[in-house]
Amino acid sequence: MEVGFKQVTCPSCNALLKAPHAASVIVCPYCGYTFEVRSGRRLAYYMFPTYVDSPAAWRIVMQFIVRRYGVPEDFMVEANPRFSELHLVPYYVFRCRASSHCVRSGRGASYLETADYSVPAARTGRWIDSHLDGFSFSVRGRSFFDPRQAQRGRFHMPTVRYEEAHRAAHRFIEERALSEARESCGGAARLGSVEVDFVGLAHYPFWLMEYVYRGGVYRALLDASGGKVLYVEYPLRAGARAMMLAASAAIIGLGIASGLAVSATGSPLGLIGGVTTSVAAALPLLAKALASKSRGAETISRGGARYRWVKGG
Amino acid sequence: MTSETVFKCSNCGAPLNYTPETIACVCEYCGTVNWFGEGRFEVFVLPTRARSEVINAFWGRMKSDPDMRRVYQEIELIEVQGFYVPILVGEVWVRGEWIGYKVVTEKKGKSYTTRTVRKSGSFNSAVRLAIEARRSAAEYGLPELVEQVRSVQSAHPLSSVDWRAVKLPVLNTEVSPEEAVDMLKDAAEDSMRQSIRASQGLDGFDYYRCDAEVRKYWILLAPLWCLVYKYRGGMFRASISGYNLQTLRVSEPVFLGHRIVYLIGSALASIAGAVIPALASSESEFPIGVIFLAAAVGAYLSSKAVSDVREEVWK
Ligand SMILES: [Zn+2]
Ligand SMILES: [Zn+2]
Repeated sequence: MEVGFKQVTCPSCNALLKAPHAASVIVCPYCGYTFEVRSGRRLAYYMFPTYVDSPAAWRIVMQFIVRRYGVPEDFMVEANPRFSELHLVPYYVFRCRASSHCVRSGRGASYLETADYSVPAARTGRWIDSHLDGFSFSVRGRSFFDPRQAQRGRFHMPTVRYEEAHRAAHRFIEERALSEARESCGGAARLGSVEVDFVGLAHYPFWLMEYVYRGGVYRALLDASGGKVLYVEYPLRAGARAMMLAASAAIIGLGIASGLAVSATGSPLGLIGGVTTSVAAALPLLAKALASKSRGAETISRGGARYRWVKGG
Repeated sequence: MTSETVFKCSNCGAPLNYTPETIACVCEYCGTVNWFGEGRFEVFVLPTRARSEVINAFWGRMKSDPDMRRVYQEIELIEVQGFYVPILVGEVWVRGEWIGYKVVTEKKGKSYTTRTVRKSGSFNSAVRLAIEARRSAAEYGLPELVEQVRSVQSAHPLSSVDWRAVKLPVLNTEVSPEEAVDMLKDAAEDSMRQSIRASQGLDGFDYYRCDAEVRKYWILLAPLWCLVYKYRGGMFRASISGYNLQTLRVSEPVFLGHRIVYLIGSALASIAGAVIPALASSESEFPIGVIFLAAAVGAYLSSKAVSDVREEVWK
């Protein structure tokens, strides 16, 4: 047995499982039975299937990078996959509801806040960890446990304790409810009822990838269920860097020149304005031109509440 | 429950794509709603147009777009996927009152003074809201679909769709009726506050009360089509509403011409940042605001100049 691991017997299928010592919840990789280690309590479980295989993941990442500005002409020819690994990361999913109250000059009001909260139940120990917080799941595919899915990649057992995640969900909804009260009312805000219901534990698949371009190593992270590009690094061609530096110099030059011209007529505000504005305007170009690697991600916004007047007002 | 557990449609016996979060699961073969849990919703559908019509709509959109028209020959459609997304629609009666404030800056003689103006009002009316009925869900074009569905008046009973001919996956509803009422109340409170704040130009509220009463709610299955296309090796997305073939959202490449226009715009903003404050200092405007605005516009335009896509969104 490896150091840091222990053997556990699945209460459902009797399979002998290897679990990290730190595991708080165990998902049997053979039958999907999910239970808390300390109490033996069973938890609701589901998983998101991996719809994107390794070749497709490379294709998506490469096609995403090629459309970015300043990517070298020979990128498709020279970029070579070095490493790709599928990580199945567990999330605790909670349904939260909280009310808050506020009184101002004798008038009271109540507010209701509802939201889902999902938090990674394990750390992969890789650089991808910081990208996994606050992640929105794909609207598509959810399924029950499937051993073939679980065995496709590194199946992370939850190490974050259920109570800890539950407390975090509590804090999250309490903060939201209180901030809603503070936003609505200048009086003293206090919390009303708070409910946090556990929806289940879900494994979500991610492709961690690395590729080489002319000796440099670059990283990428892909949502392996929804096919979204969560993070990429890519090289920038020298010409694009030079162009961006020239453009920022031109913008700052113009700002200073017009500032000086206006100041000559008497107002010092022109120079201040010109310098401030042109430096701010050139900043996005400078930041990109001077970074050793460019970075990017695909933005896909979440759906939300929409409203419309029907009548009255 | 293990992977061996298979749930079957109560009407035709076809296997269902049930998951633990599911409240309502519409059979993709016969259109019967299978319920898991206590409460019930009324379920309606916006029928989808055929896949070929969606593809035609995509090409029609590209041919009529002034930028894409020129490179139309180089576009390759690589993926077309449609599904019915459950959307919670509700009618909520809202009544309440508010007292808000606004900070106004004025020039008096040589110096600037700020003062707070208070406004108040009340409301008593009905609003219609739409929210996606899936948990923590993100999808290209989904917010626009939800927005569009909110204003659609005609909804059809599930039986009006020929499910055997449609063959589109139906995503399960994951909110219970009890949760739906809370979600709608919350959304009504938030959206009323936002709309009052925006329409009255307020900086904040001293007091805001909104009593929301959910009158009616239902689930509407709306068809969302997600497309992926390639242009010069790069991947771009489009999403189309299957109900009326409207483009909900599309990402397009940024061409050299756009980049130059954005850069010129950014340069003009820096010139404006110098010239306007100097001119305005003799007027009653406060110049710091102008400088800040010019800087923001300049930075926005220069970041657009080196961006990879332009997003066009249905409004
Ligand atoms: Zn087992
Ligand atoms: Zn059926």
